[in-house]
Amino acid sequence: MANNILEIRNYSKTYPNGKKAVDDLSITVQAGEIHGFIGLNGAGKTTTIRAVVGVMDFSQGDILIDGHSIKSEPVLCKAMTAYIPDNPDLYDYVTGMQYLNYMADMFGISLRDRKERIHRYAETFGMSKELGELIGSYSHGMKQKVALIGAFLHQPKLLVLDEPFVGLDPEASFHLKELMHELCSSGSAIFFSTHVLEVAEKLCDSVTIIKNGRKIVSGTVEEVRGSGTLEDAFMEVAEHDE
Amino acid sequence: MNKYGLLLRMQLYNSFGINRMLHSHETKERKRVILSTLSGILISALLIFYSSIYCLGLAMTNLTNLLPAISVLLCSVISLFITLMKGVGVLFGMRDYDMVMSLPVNSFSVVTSRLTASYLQNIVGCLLFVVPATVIFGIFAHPSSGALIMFLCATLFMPVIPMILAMAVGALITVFSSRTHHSNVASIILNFAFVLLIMFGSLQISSTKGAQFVSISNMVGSMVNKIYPPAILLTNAVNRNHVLPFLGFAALSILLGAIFIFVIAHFYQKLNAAFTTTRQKTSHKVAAALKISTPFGALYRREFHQLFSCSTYVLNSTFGIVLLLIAAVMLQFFPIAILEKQMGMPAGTIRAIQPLLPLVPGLFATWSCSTCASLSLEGKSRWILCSIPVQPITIFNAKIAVNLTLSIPALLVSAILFCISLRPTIAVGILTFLIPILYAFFTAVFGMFLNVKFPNYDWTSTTNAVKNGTSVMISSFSGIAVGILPLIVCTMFPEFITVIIAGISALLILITVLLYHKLKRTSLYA
Repeated sequence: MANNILEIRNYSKTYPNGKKAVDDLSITVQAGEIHGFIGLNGAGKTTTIRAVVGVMDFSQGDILIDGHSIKSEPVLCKAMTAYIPDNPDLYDYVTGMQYLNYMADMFGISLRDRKERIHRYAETFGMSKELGELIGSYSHGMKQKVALIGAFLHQPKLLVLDEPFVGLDPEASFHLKELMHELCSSGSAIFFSTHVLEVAEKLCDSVTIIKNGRKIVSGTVEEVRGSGTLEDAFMEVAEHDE
Repeated sequence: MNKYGLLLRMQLYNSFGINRMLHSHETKERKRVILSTLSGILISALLIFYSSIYCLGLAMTNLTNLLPAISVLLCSVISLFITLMKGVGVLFGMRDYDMVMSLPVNSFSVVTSRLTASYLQNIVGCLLFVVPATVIFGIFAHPSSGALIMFLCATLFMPVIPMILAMAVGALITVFSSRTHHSNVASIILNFAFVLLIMFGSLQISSTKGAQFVSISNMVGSMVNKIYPPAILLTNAVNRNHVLPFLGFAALSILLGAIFIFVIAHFYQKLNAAFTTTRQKTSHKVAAALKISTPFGALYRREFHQLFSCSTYVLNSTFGIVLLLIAAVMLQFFPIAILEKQMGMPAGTIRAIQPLLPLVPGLFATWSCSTCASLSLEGKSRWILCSIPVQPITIFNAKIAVNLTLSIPALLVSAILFCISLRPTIAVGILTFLIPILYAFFTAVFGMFLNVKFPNYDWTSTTNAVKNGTSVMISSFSGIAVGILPLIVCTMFPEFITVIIAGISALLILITVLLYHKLKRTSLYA
């Protein structure tokens, strides 16, 4: 049996105003896989991601993290997941180090591991000198880096990223891609949304394209792009009705 | 519409909740706005009632001539409070500063629109007193229609100078404290000092009883006219039906307002830079900074960081217990007889009301609620709390624990001080320790419950979250009711004090336990 880290089963989300944001979506991401989640603005990507990480309630369908339902075992699922939203608003009133220590406490990371990992990731993202300063004084990119360090700290089984490359400098983007591969090679999975199709094509093992809340196509990058590029496949989907 | 108008309209969209009411399709959101509006109407009705009673008192004792000066005094105090409580966040260090300043508008329009929105809120507060005062002045003093119009129109100018004063002092406090090592501590202390100064001044002026009403009111009237020259202009204009002093009053307010706007607009960017500048930390060591703790411990520690990151939040959350401690300490240094005389009480009153002692610290505990805004303050960062692997009740427990950490030590210290100075019976002494703790638990849990029900995440400054939420409003007023009602009932039925206190305690325990159980079953979503 395949080791499914993320299973979205017939997930639908309807907002109180009656708008159906996501309709009967099913996606599976296996261990070691980087899965790109692609769609136009307002397609339902963030709505799906928020449900996957348990920050948004939903009634139809189910989402399983390593076989556990986010609905019935939210704490267990969250303990295996790390999430970075598209615009990570962190606590402006704490220092970067205090934030990372807080996240380490939340995920029960030993003192030895947190020291080692914070040191390593801070060095990787060039943030070692800035961790003693208040997050409020950071630029958008620096906040993004601290959020990423916080996400990698507990070596999550599932890493969920919403537009992770926005605001990152080229060097940090490069290191992030390396860390994503490294995490997946240790048996974790990554589910991330992006609008940068070149990145998705190079980085992902599989992709899902959604439009108006419905899955249009899903599969390995090779399957989805066919003989063209991922951009060609996406444009074909974007410009034509389902 | 010009740019000032557009900026002001955007400010007002955010101010009164009408826009949410009109455009939100969510029933929950609409209910929230309706509840806020109803609470606002209720509070306004109460204020109008009290100001009418006070003005009638003056009119019945033939002191209608003091109404203009008293109106200026009360409107000034109202404006000072509203402006100070809303904080300088109205003008400086706002979250949308970059966005607004990147628009093709000059800083003059930005400053003026922000001040106008704040001014309109002050005007609403002032009208609650001036309208009843004008009506009563019209009925009892039989003035000319010109004098009445001048009295009413003066409301437009009454908040201007106090607003400027409060903003200037608030700004100076913030800039000064941002230059110190412990910026927030300095800011909290200075803000406390300023609010206490206003309160002490107001109490000194208003502490009076029936027999002294005439002389004290006369004294207040002349004192206001002496210490606040614009008041004498209005007094002369209304009482003597002279237009010139009224124009002087209006011109002085407009002139000072204009100077303030021009100065602030001129240095707006520099002032904002001063506000957002924090002292750079030198170096840091990873090993030294890291400590391990439980998720609850980490949440609890972060709550304290959050609390002390906003001086208005600290002020709001600890005001009651600070006042209580001041009162308890004062009892140690001033003989009871002197305090009774100072407060205009007959000799022996304090000792006579000793059985009520356990309820007094409880009243102050209800004014010290941090939980009612603690969830709202998560704001846009709430995704972190929602995505960490802890039960929501652990998060609520941490917030409740911070509230209790603030209130319980202060309540215990004040209970010790009260027992030393008032020497109550053993039973009353024990209750003086226990009952306030029940109030503290009730206040913290009730505040948490309210904030879970009515979170306000869409704030533009932390002050806005601390001051403007429905949960904060309900918590403040219901807290005062829960604190004061038992005192009133005990005063009315002194022979049943023990039964009443026992009943109140049982009720507080029951409500607290029920609300806590409800919190335990609550889910937390962003």
